[in-house]
Amino acid sequence: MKAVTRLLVVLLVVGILASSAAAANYTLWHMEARPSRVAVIQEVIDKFNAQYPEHQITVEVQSWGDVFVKGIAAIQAGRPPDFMFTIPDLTMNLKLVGGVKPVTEVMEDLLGRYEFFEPAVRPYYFEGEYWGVPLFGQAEVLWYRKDLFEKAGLDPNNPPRTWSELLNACQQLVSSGVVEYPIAVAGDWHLATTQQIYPLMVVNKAEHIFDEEGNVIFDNPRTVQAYEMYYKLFQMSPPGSEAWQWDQPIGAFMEGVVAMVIEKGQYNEQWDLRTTLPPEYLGAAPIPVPDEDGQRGTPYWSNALMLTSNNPQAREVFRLLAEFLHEPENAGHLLTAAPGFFLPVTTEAAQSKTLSENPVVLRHREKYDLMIEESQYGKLYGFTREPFHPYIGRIVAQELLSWTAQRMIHDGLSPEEAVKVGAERMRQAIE
Amino acid sequence: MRRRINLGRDPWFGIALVVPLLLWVAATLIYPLLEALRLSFQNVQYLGTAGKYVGLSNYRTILLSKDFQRSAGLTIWWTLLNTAGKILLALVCAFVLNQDYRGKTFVRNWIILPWVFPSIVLATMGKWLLDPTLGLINYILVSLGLIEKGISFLGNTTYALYVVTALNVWRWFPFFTVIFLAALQTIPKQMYEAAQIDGASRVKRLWYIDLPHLLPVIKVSTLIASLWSVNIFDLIWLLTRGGPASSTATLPIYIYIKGFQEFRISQAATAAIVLFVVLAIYGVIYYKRALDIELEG
Repeated sequence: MKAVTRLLVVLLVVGILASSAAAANYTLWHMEARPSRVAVIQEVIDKFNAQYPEHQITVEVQSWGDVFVKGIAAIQAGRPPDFMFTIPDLTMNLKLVGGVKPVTEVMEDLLGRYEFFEPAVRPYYFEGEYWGVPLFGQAEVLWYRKDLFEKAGLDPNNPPRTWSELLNACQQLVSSGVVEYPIAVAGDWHLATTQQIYPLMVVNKAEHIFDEEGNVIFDNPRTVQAYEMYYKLFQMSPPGSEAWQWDQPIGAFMEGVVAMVIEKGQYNEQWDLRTTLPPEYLGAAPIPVPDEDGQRGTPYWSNALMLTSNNPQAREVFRLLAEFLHEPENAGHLLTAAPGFFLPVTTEAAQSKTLSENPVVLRHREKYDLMIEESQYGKLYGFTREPFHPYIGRIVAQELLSWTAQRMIHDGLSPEEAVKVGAERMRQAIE
Repeated sequence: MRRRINLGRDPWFGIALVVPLLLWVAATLIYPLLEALRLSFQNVQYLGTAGKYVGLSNYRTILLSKDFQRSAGLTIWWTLLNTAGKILLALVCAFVLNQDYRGKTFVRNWIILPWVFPSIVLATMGKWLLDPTLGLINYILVSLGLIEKGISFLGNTTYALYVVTALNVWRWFPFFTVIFLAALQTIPKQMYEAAQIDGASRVKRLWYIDLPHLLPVIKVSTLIASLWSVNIFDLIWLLTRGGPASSTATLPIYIYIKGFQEFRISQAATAAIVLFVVLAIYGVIYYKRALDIELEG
């Protein structure tokens, strides 16, 4: 009996010790659902978990389409994830329901250690606090087929730099018989279309949709000019473009149905996956600017790590995770989740060996460097001037920039009329 | 001696069997309905946040909204097309399947196939088949010389609604086919024999034997088909998300956009309550008139 009692006591003590030594669990949501990205992000988090066995992070993948709603629902239910990858308008949306915690101390520490790119940081600093730690960015350029340019008698090393050069190149590509449709332009009511229009707004100095008082100023002559240019390009895009999102322009470009497209960096990896053509045939150039009074620029989406937990311990783990993800080789590893597409947000990450040795980055280094350079001129609508409007999420969630384009495509409105109607819709959205 | 349970004199057993279902109905139907009703009298914007009481203001806003009116009109047209399509196609198929021919068992077993497809599979298939550049439908039409170049069916405001309707009808008609076929199978063979002896043609047999027998089933099926059609969300969202240019934005799509893209949850709840009331009135009138059922109380 004494032996049994002793055994029970030992088991009890062991159990208590074991439970107190068990790792604390945290949840991270991210929205990069492509299998290759899921795999790499998991590898990075596995490394963190191995380095910090007392803190175990479980990754849960969400879809961009759901997360605006799911995030709010999770916060309201009192069961938010501890950390989330985010973009600026999602952060703003979740902050409205009290779901985002400031991370100023962490960010200031990191700013002291690394050289961050300003466009990556800007959207996450407002009301005197930082609300996210940037991890990677996305910018747009003009992609063009050098092989098709050469066949059409255009200089493949001298891509269009202005709007008139772009339109001339389109004409030349068609008149030479090389392609029937010179450029792919998405036209669906979708973010993909917004990403066709906003570059033209940025280079035409129409990047602001609010003034300093938070009034909608979308309906201005420069925005109208951008939509005019968009519509000219759209009319030269293949049939069915009114329903195109991201994948169809990629397919058309890779198949040689079109010779140009304005888009983000996924074209580097897709070129290698979908063609057997040499990387030199894929060209990239800054987004063409208006012939007069334009500016160099590109849309830029800064993706950050956000703290959404009420758990005090989670704040410390957030700091550890943010520091871990910004160590250059870990940052470089994270960027290889979408090589050539995810852009570094610090100089140190841009120089990481892991990133530089990635096969896609190696093959398309010049284009990747161009994208990093262009991201310095990056802008994002709604986050171009402070104070940021708290209801920007409504304009983004309804994709009102592409909604405006649909008024031209389907309702036959002129660019001026469409922009006017779009501005009115924005005003209603933020009421 | 063991007491046998007699349901007639032991109601508690019956109640115990029914209570779980009632609880489920209360949790999944009644509670959300009451919650939506509460929200419709407030000005809640983001789900889960607080709001003030605003009386009937949301109802005024919604009922006077051009977007709501357009969606409502579209919903009526969508419902008519879908209901007619499902019922008529199902009737034709049921009559064909009711004949004697080689392989009828195989056909009867596999007719149900479209109905078992998940919406996402159907939507993906639809998008591929209808793609203007790579889709099989356009390839066939161009090859036959019927069109010069591919049509963007889902990207065209003229065609989109009819194309989504066709896919939805294709998906649901097997369900009603099975119901109609089962009803046809219950018609006594002697009636057909007697009609044949009397010299009735096939058309007359159809008109005087088949249809009268089927009429009660058709009436109930029409009610079910119409109610289900109104509430279709998934297929429309997956195919067009209510576009292009709101040409497929029926009321469920409108409600979703209002609540989860415009973040005006109270207004979305209001539209949902209006839809619920209209469907409830429709259901009651249909029951009383078409099915000749007297409601108690």
